[in-house]
Amino acid sequence: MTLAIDGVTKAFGRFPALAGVSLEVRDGEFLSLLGPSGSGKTTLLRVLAGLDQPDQGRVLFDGADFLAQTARERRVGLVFQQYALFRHMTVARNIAFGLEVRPRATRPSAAKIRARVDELLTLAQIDGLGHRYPTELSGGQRQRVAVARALAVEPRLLLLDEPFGALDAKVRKELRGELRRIHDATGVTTILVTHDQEEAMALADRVALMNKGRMEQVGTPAELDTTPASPFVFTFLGETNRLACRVDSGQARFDGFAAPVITPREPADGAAVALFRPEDAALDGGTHAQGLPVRIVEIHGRGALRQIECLTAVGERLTVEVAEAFATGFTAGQPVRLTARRVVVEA
Amino acid sequence: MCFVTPCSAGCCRPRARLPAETSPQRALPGIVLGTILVTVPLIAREPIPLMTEQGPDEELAAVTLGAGGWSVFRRVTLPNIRWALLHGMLLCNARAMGEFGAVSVLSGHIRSLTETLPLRVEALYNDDDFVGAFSAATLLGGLAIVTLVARTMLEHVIRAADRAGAIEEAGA
Repeated sequence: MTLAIDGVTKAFGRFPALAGVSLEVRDGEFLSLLGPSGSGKTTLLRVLAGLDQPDQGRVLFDGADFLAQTARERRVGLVFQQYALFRHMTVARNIAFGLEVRPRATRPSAAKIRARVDELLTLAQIDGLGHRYPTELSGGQRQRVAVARALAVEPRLLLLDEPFGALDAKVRKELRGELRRIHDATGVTTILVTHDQEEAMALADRVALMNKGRMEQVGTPAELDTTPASPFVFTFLGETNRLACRVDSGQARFDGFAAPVITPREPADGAAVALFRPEDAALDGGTHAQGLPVRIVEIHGRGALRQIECLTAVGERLTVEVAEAFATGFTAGQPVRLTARRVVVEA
Repeated sequence: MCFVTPCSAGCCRPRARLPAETSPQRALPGIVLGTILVTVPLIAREPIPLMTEQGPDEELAAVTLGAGGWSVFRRVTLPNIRWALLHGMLLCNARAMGEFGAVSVLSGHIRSLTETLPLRVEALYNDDDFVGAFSAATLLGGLAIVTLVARTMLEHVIRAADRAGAIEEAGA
């Protein structure tokens, strides 16, 4: 039951929304389509749902041509950012919709539909809300209904288009966990579209990172983290510092220290710009410390982590993230030495 | 003399213009067509902005859930615009009752045969039959009130049907 997307292109006027996308989604997998807005991830989702036809390319589901089937025939569950619940129907009727519109021959009996609705209300943890109307629910509850409605038809593929985009941070986190739990309970192959890298990395088995209509990298969150395919992947997935360096046989050399280059695999020697994460950098205030001489400008942050802002001799601003206990040894104005344990080099 | 005074010209013209072979039977389709042409756009004027605002997401969701075109229209689109559609129909009805210009030209204006109420009011008024004119106008006013009452009753019926559906589910 794998989904194979092969060389799919789609242009809106002269704007290429998808510029040749290939991707394989495994059976039962939770895959996240990640990318900045305009990267083509929603267009790809609409192609999979049958709401858009690509200009070129093939989509095979379990070996069968998916594009030859209408949206109706594909049995794909789609969850929208703005919920798209039927506003004139109660929650129970919303969930039952996919079963009630089936032709008489394949439609389950009224009792069976009711049982299925109850089951889904429990799965989505919205028991007792069946008789309410969508307008009487909170945003989080509405999205739970939307997921339950999509699951009612036992879809072969569950597609979610920025499902938490309209929710506040706390509800979003809560629903994230719920979605993963529902996925694990049903085993349905799930594709989640999001622009939130934290969400994608926390939820998905694999992340497909898109940029400008192309696939930048597909891999597990750990793979994307440790071996980013390009500087774009590295910058999109977290905070970065920029610092001029000199590349020499796979090492980025700075004034006072050197760090291994993780991307690209074989960097060209010469002057370059290095990128590194605040959490990959370290500070040392000792008199014999090695590293780039910097001066601490400001220390801020709360909870377990502190961000220490530093300035180099030539005025480059760098951020270092350290544990709260470690930060107490530093004060603003103090000269320290900075090192980074891994860098990415911009071509 | 008919050409001299504007008043008599207004009174005489329809009757003077009526050709002998015009039959009342042939006037009816004209009245109906004329009225439709002038009033039906009013039905669309209410739901269209509403549908534009709501967007196609609900219909798209229905399609991915396996609903066919007719099913999407009957179960999703139509219920969503039913109030706007009802108000549009009422506006259309009001306009049809009051429509004058198109019907006046197309009907042929034969008394008691191819006349609508507004035309009758004008004819009576022009004949200086003020009692008749005001009676007919009052009848028009009465029809407007009947329409309003019908509207309120319709709203009750639709609301009650919605509630019945909801209760049925709550019980289930």
